[in-house]
Amino acid sequence: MDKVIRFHPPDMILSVETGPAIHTVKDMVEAEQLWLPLDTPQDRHLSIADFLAEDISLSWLSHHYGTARDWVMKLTAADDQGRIVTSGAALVKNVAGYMLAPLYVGAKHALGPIVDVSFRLLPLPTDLRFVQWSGADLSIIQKILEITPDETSSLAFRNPWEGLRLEHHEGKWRMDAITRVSQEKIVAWAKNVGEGGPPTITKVAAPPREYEIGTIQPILRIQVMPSRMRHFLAILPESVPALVCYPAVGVIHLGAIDSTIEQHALKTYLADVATSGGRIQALHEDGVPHVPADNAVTSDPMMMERVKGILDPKGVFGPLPEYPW
Amino acid sequence: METSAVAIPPKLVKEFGRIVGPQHVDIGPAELLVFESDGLTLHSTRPGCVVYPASTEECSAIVKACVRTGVPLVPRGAGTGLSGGAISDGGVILQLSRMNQILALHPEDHYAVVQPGVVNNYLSLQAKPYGLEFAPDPSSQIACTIGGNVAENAGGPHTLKYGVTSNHILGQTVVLPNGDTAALGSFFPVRTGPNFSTFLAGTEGTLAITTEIVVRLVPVAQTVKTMLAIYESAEGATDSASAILAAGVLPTAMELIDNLCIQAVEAHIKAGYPKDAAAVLLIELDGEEELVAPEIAVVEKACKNHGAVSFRTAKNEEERQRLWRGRKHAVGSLGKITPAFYTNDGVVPRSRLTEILKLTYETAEKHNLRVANVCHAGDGNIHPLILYDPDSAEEQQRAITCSEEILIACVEMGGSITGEHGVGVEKRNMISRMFTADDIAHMVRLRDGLNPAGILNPGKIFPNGGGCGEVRSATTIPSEA
Repeated sequence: MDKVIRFHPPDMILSVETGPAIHTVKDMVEAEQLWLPLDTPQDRHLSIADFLAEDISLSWLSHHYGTARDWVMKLTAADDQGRIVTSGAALVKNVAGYMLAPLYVGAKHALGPIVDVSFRLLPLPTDLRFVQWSGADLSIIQKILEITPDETSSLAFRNPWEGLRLEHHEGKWRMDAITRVSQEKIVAWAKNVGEGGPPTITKVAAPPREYEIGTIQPILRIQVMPSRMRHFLAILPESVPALVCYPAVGVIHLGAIDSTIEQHALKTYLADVATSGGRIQALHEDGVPHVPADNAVTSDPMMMERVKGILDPKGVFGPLPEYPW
Repeated sequence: METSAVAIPPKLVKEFGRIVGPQHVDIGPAELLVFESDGLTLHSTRPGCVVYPASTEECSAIVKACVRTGVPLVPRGAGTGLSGGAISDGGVILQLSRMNQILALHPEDHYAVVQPGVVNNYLSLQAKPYGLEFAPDPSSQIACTIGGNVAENAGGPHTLKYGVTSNHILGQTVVLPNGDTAALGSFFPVRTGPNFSTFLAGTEGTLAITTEIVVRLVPVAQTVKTMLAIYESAEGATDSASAILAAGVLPTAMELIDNLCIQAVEAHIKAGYPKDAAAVLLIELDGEEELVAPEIAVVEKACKNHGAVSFRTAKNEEERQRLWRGRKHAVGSLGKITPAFYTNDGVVPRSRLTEILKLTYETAEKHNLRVANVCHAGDGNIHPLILYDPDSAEEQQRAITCSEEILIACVEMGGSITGEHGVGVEKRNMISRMFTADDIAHMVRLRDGLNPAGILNPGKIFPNGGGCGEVRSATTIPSEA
């Protein structure tokens, strides 16, 4: 199932079966000066089916462009009796009927396998700059984020960065960002900080993929309100060896936590996150410390169980993902 | 008006009075009259009762009372919908206008919690001092409510860049069809995984009643520039829209207004559109100041290359607002030139826009009617406004037929019967033009599972079975030949 069903660039819609790798179709649309503004942090070989079923679409683009469900305009799946059913339309705008993509994306095929989708596309951003800034001190990078246009907002909130991530690895912090802002302006911002050396600014024809620049395999996701991001970055245990974070959406991904000391230090931190209403989600089973329960009162799992009971009463398909998702 | 299908038991009316106070229950014919239709006046049915709750708890109690007596209930906001989605045939209208408070506004985290009766534009006005706004901006934004925006998954001119309502909803509190309440989603700016709250956007109140909404607020752009391109042919305007996107520029809005609409606008509010233009294209760019300036040059070149005889950028905020007033009041201005008109909401793939626009004029001419066009040119979403005489039943029927033929053409081009107005009762019998019997059966299965007694907003979106009640389950829809 690897066919392109329809791709007529002026329509800015790609209809495709779910077999191809997500990055293959990104390559294809970028060749036509269009852009699917979704990314996957690690796996360049991830198929569209897995990308959507697992919803591995939280990336350095998400603060600006959302996640997978924001870009799926039409979704076709098999139902529990083997019928092929479609909702939505291969259009940039449509409200006819129920749009089922928000239920299927991230449901791990529990409602039925997704067989094809139509993605909305954007013009490929031109005249882009890829900005990298390294330093030992997180506060320098925070200053860079704060001197962007609205200095009163929380970290990077009203920001000119279309992609933005911070990575901490082997004792060093690095900021990766893409922007259409001119080199002169970026350099001027950097000068205001007065420390940390100049950023590396590279003109790029298309936004780099996150798997090309990231080095960390996350095992634990922490999500806090963006206004609390500064606090939770500041109190990170020193023993945490690696992390990547998306400051504008309040997400911190922790990398491998190998030692007992690291696990012990992290427990207090995670408890703090949970107490303040943050969410904690284990992305892998191995090496993950005890994760406190999600404090949020939500009916999401109950409603999804209800949907599962209606669309797949005999459990033909696999179970829903465990909450929190 | 159709004959009422439901009788409201007097006991139920008394119970409503106990829940919300008797002064917040209407059953008198004069009071019910205004609820006979929404913005789509071609369809009217009289409800049996209108109840005005003030809280989630009152909504819940009202739904539970309706469930006990088997009386259907229709949630309603400002009644500006254009598909007959908020009308009830003898049942209860749950009028949410008392639930009009902004419960919380968190500028530091860019979200607000609002009740469903908050007017769209009011929310943006309240957020503006913090440099924020609510992005979805239907043309009715000075009257329509956020609850209605969620129910219809409303769009508006600026959805080209910022997306529709479902892209700006982070969570909801809802009352389910059994009267239970559910808290969905969260305050976080993004979330992965299945999302029932997002799914509810656009389900037209058939699955839940939204009583609180967590909305995303977006920063007001540093620079906003509005341009007007003037054409001697409508095709020039549609071709320009395609060329602008092909050049890599993503405007916040690209709105086409044709000659007949221009005549109405200029007769009404004098927006500064030239009366002799075949069409104008209103284009808006926003973003960092240094980025917008070069984009204006790209847009101007694209427009002039495709037949724009004149191109100008609003010199100041006053001129910009005047240009937008023309677009926002284009539909209302038609009252200056016709006693009635019928609004169509078809969508085509963007590359077919020129073709469908031409077809709207040909179809209207075939039916001996006049048509005025406004459309969201970047989205392929057309709004042909078919003018007719409401005193002539025959002419009214011709207008309906004309609109249906345009929608059928949209679907045949790979498009949709509705881009932002919803299906409601208006187009429920056309939905099978877009979806197979299996597709519809799948959606109906979900509806019937989540709303098993059929209490919430019956008779909307999906075709009626005819006579004995609407389609109830997957297997009752015959397969298409």
